[in-house]
Amino acid sequence: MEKAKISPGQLFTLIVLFDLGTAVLRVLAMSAGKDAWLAILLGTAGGLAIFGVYASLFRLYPELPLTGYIRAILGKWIGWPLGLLYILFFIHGAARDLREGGALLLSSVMDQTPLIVANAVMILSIVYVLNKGIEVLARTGQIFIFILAVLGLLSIFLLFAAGVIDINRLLPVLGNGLGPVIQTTFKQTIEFPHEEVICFAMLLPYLNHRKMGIRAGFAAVLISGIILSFSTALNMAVLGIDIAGRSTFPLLSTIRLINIGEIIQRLDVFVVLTLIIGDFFKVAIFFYAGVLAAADLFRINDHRKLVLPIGVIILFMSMMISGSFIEQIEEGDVLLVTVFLFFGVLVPIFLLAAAGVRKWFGSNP
Amino acid sequence: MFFGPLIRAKKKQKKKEIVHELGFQEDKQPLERDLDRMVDRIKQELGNSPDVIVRTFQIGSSPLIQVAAIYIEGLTDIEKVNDFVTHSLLFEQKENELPQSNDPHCMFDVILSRALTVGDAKYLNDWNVMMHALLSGDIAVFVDNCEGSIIGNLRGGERRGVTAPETEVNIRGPRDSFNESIGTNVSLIRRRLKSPNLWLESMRVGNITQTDVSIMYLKGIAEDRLVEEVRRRLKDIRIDAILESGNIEDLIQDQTYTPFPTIYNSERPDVVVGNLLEGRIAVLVDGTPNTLILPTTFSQFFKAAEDYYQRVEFTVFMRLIRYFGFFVVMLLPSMYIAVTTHHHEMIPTLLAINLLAQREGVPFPVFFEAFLMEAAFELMREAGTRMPRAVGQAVSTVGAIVLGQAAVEAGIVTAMMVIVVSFTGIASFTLPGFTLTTSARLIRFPMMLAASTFGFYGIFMCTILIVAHLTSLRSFGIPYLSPFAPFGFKRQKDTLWRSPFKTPATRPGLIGPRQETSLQKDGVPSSDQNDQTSEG
Repeated sequence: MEKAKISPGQLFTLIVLFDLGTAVLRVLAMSAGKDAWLAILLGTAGGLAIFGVYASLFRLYPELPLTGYIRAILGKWIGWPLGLLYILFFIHGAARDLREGGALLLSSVMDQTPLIVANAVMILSIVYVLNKGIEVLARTGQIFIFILAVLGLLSIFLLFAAGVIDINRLLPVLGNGLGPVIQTTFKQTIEFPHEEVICFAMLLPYLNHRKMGIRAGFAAVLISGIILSFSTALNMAVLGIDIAGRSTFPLLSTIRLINIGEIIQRLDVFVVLTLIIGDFFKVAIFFYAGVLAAADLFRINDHRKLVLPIGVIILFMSMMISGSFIEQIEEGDVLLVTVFLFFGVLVPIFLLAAAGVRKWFGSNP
Repeated sequence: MFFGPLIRAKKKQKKKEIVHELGFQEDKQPLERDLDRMVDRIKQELGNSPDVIVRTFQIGSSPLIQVAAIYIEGLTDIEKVNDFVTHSLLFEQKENELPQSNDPHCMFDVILSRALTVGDAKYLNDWNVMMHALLSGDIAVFVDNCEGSIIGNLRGGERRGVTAPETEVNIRGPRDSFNESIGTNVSLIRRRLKSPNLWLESMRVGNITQTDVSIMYLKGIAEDRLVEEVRRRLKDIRIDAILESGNIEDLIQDQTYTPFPTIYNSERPDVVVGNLLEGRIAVLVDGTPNTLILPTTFSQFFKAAEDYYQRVEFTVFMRLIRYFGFFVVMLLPSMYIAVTTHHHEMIPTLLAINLLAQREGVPFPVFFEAFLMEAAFELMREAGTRMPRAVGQAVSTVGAIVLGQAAVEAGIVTAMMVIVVSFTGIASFTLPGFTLTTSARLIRFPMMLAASTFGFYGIFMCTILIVAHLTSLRSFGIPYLSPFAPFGFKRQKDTLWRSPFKTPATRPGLIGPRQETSLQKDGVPSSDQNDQTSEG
């Protein structure tokens, strides 16, 4: 373990950047139709519950990362292979997000560049930053969340000023009843992006103030949920549900509509910046969680040695993970309720229950 | 964290453990009793250099006492030697008899207490220290049959006076600047800070040059651990020569390979005083007007001395301009390249047509064009710095005409490119901390390369890397980008924004103890942890 520490404020920053990451670029919860934003809000409540599970596990084992307490709870023989699966899960998550970010980037601004080149640039930059450690990643996050906040607020203001927001596109609320909303909530919005926060179970031991850190974590999940809900609603109000649903990169289409007196226009660069920053931190955190898990399982003292090899694995995995962007998204929806659900929700709940049982039996022998 | 660099420094030290033969020996040697042998030895040691002046005379009446005064021409003030040594020993002693004594030390006591009129004089019986004093410009007085010497401080000689600062110019505020004499520089600081807590520590660095280096800090405001750390790093230096504070900077900085300066330097006493009041430490080096200030944060390079003398509104505006200037230097050429080669769709139509029309007939790709012009600009700037004053006119005329008008008319570059390059050039002169501009100028070139290959993607990835690099830097344990990252809301009073002095909360910020530079046990600034609630 690295001796570095991160503050609650930095944890907050990282979780928000991670949650928004690739999610803010897309319109989520399309199956709920106009009420997608509602589904996302409801999903956030679920997200808070999921984070509650991680936080409880962290309270029980404040010194250990996820792979550490798996072994502490389930024993070496089940815990170690499960930890190994978690390494694969984190690497796979990083590769998926790397692929997604790269594909969006190519489709929006760099149609001539080979995917592997764009991805290689991204992963090498992440390797550099992760080599410097978690502190540097967290502080870099603090700088960029500030930039993102400024860009976001400015974009919202300009969207209003440009008069492209039509609130009627969101009405009527609950036009199809509560059914589809609830269904979408359970099928999609609880899981994405909240169950990916499992990565932070690897990072929580770095916190310097545990109590404040957990509070900051809850706040981060809540706030990123609200932002996602708002951005989805905004996209729909600008583009209408049809275009928003079909577009691969709705945020870009939305921002492109800003045109105030032929002076303020073509703000695509805002979206590209959001995409790059979000993708960077999302991949970086998945990547780092994978590195930490591997270092923990294989007892490697200096985890920095693992950064470059795992980076290369992620790069090639991102190329092979799917045939096309559409396939990737389709696959993602399936993985969300299977693999991600298993690793992000079911295993932690099971762990918590097992830990509870152990403790109960431990205290009443 | 904090000790990482220290351990590394120790490793380096081992490599440098080659004691130079020409250096001064450390062991103590007593002086000769016999005057002639003494004088011969000194002459021999200094290679019979003709600038060593030996003045022998006799004082007292019965018996006559042989005395020699030795000093080095040019380092010692000759008029003062005549007035305070020769005159006082030769003439004023004629009337009143000097008491005799057989005790070798006693003669010196008598001279010191009754004959010599030099203010700063002391008895000394150590060969190395005496030679040192002699070479620093002191006068040494020897008495026959007495072991030891009297060292009098009559340093003088030609020195540049205190003039207006040449690199850090301002409109409002004091006009004096440091010069090459460390004594003058210390006095310029002391004159502004009449506090008993202003402490000064001196040491000699450099085996051969034996350069005077002083640490100045405000006791009670500067963190003790920080002072100790600076002292330790200075003591660890093993090198032959220190010619300028840049040598010291190179030897004591936290990270060697980085384009960013982690130690600030200034030639303005008021800047140094302001920083001392904030708890920083000044390192003065003899022979240079540039004084080091540490620890340094990134935002310091954007603060001019004038910021604290001008109106708040104007200060904030100027700081925004400076930050803008920094980003212009770093990013503008690459932004232009990215937009024109990769992202045509981001340019408004009319402007795009205009640019396209300009580019018609230009034989180079935009990157090459930009590279050519930026390189030409750097050439001109370097020429402007190095060339003799007399030919300055010629170079600037040729530069302006050739690089501006002629290049455009010949169709080698577009007019837009000339505008971009000159804008970048102008912007590079906006930073008060000039050393940071050089980093931006350096980074500009890889940035341009990234922009031409990957467009905005390349620029943003480069920016992320640079920010990550900046956050990883530390200056004497203080994170370089604080208070931006790690973020402290309470410490934003003097960064982009400067709050007025009247604001009650601000005053302690400027003169109160341990504001920005406070360290905790592990070297992490305490504010990193105290400002939790306001972070994020």
